[in-house]
Amino acid sequence: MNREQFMGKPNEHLHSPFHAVDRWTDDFRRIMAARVLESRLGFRKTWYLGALTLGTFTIQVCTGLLLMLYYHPSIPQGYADMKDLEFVISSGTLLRSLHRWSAHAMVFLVFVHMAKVFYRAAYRPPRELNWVLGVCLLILTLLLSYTGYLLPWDQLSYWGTTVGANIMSSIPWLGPKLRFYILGGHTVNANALLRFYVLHTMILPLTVISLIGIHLWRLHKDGGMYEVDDQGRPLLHEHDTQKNAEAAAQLAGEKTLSYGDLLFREVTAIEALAVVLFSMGLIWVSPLEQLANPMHTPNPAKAPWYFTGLQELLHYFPPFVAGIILPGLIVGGLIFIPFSPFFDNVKTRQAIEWFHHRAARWAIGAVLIVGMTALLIRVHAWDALLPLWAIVALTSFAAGGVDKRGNGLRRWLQEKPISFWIMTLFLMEAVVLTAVGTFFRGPGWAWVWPWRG
Amino acid sequence: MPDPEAPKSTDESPEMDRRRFVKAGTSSLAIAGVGAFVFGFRYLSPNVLYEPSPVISVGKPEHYRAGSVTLDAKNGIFVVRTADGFYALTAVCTHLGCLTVYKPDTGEIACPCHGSTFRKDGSALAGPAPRSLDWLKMWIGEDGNLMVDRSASVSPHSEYVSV
Repeated sequence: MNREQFMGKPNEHLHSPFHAVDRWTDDFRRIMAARVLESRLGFRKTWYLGALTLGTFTIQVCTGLLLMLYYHPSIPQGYADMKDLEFVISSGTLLRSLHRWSAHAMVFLVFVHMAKVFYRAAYRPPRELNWVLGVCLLILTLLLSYTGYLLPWDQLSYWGTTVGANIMSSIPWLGPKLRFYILGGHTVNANALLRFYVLHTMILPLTVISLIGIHLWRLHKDGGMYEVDDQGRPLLHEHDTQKNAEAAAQLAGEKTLSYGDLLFREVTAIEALAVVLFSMGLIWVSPLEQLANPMHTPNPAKAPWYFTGLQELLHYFPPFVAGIILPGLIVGGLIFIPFSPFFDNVKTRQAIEWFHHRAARWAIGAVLIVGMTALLIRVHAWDALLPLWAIVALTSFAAGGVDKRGNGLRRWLQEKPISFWIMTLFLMEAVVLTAVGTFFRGPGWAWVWPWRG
Repeated sequence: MPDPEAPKSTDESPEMDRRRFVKAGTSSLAIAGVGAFVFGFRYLSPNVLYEPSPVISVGKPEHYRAGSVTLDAKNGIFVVRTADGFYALTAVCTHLGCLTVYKPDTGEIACPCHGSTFRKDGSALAGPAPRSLDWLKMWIGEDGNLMVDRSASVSPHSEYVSV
C-alpha cells in the first residue's frame, strides 16, 4: 500500500484531525527508525543504555528548571536557597536529591554506554560520527557535573572548583589566562558563580540537546541497531531505513517491528529507572556542607566519585600531566578509535596480526611492563600497577600457547585485538583509581582502610 | 531559459557576479567574526575586580611568640617568627591551591587536598607539590604593624624582618 492509497488523494485528508497530526509530525517521527529488527529489541542487546542516559538527562532538565525557580546565583544567597530547599520549600529536598542522583546516574550510564558500544564494535563506519558525538557528550556530561557542583556554594563546591580551576591554570602560558576568563577573577568568587550558573543552565544543556538530536538522527540513519556481519559492518545498503530494515530482516531471517515497539520498551525502561532514582532521592538525601569558607580547606577535600580517579592521579603526577595531558590523550584516543584499523575492536587482519607477531609482542610487552611499571613505581602509584599487571598476566596467559580444547578462555583472549587490551586497561584503571580515591583515602590523602572507623 | 554558454552578466550587474558576492560575503563575515571574538574576549575579562588588596596588615610584631608559625587564614598566609626574625609565607598550596595548615606536633605545613607537606621555611618536603611555598615581601609599616604584599614574592631566606 503506498502513501496515496493509505492517506487518500492529496488534499482529501487535510481536514481529518488524525491525518493532520500525522502530517505535522511526519518529519519529527523520522528521528527514529521506522522499522526495527525484533531480535534487536531485547534488553541484552543494548541494555537500553542510550535510552536510559536520555532518560536521566530529561530528569535533569525537568528538576533543574524547577530548582532554578528558587535558586539565586549569588553569594551567600545561593547557599541560603539550598537551606530553603532543604527545610522550607515543599518537596525541595526531594527535587535536589533527585537532581543529584540523576546526575550521578547520567555520568555512570554515559561511561557504561561508551564501553558497551566499544565492546560491541558499534562505532565502526558508517557510525563513526555518532561515536565522536558520543565522546563529546561524555565530556559535556562531565562539564555539566563540574559546573553544577559549584552552585550550592558549600565547602565542597568551593574547594572542588578551586582545585579544578588550578588544574586549568597548569597549562603552560595559556592556563592562567584561561582560568581568569572562566572564573571572571583571580579567585573563585561571585563572578565565577554566575559564570558557572550560565554554563550549567544555558550553554552546556543547549549544546547537549543539539548534540543528542544529531546523535539520535544519525543513530537510525547509520543503521541503528541492525545486525552486524562477522567483520563488524552493519548490514546496510544505503541510507534508507525501510530498505535497510527489510534487508537486515531478510538476512537475519526474522520479522521487523514498528518503531512504536521500540519506543514502548525504551519508555518502560526509563520509567523503571525514574522509579529507582526517585526512591534513592527519598532514602538518601543530598548532602550540604557548611557555607563555602575560603579560610578553611576541609580535610580530606574529596571530589564526587567520578572525579576521585582524577584526584588519585593528581596525587601522583603534576597537575598538567594528570589533569590535562592524560585526559587529553584519553579523549584523543577515544575519538581516534573508529579511524584506525589498529585501534579496531574487531578481528580484522591488521588488528590481530601484531599480536601473533613475536617482535611486536615483545616490544609492546617491554613498553608495558618495564616503562609503565618503572614510572608508576617511581611515583609510588601502587594501586595503578594492579590493572597494568592484570593485563600483563592475561596477555602472557593468552600468548602462552594453544588451548587444546580450542575454544577456551585462552583462545577467546588470543583473538582480541590490541584496542581491546588498551580499552580494558583504561577501564580497569578508571575503576581501581576511582575505588581507591573514594574508599581508601582519608585526611591528607593518606591511605585508610574503610572498615576502620 | 538563458543559454548557459552566454556571458554571465546578462541579468546581473557586472560589478557583482556570484564569485565576487561570495568573496565579499565570506571576508566581511570573517572580519565580523574576528571582531566579535576580540570584543567577546575583552567583555569576558572584567576590568574592575572587587577582590581584596594584596597588601595587608598582620598586626603588631609582639603578638607573635618566638618560634611560632601563625596561619592568617583570612589572607591565606603564614607569619613565621624565628630567631633570625619574621618572614611571611603563602599558605596557598603550590599544587592546586588548597589552604595548607601548620601541624605543631610534626613541625610541618600540610595540605589537606592531595597530601603535600612543607618545612617551616616553605620548602617542599613530600607529596605532589611542584614548588616550595613562596616567601612574601614583608616590612614594618609606619604605624608599627607588620605589612605583607601577597602579590610580591622574595627569594627564601633573603629577607628577615627584625624588630
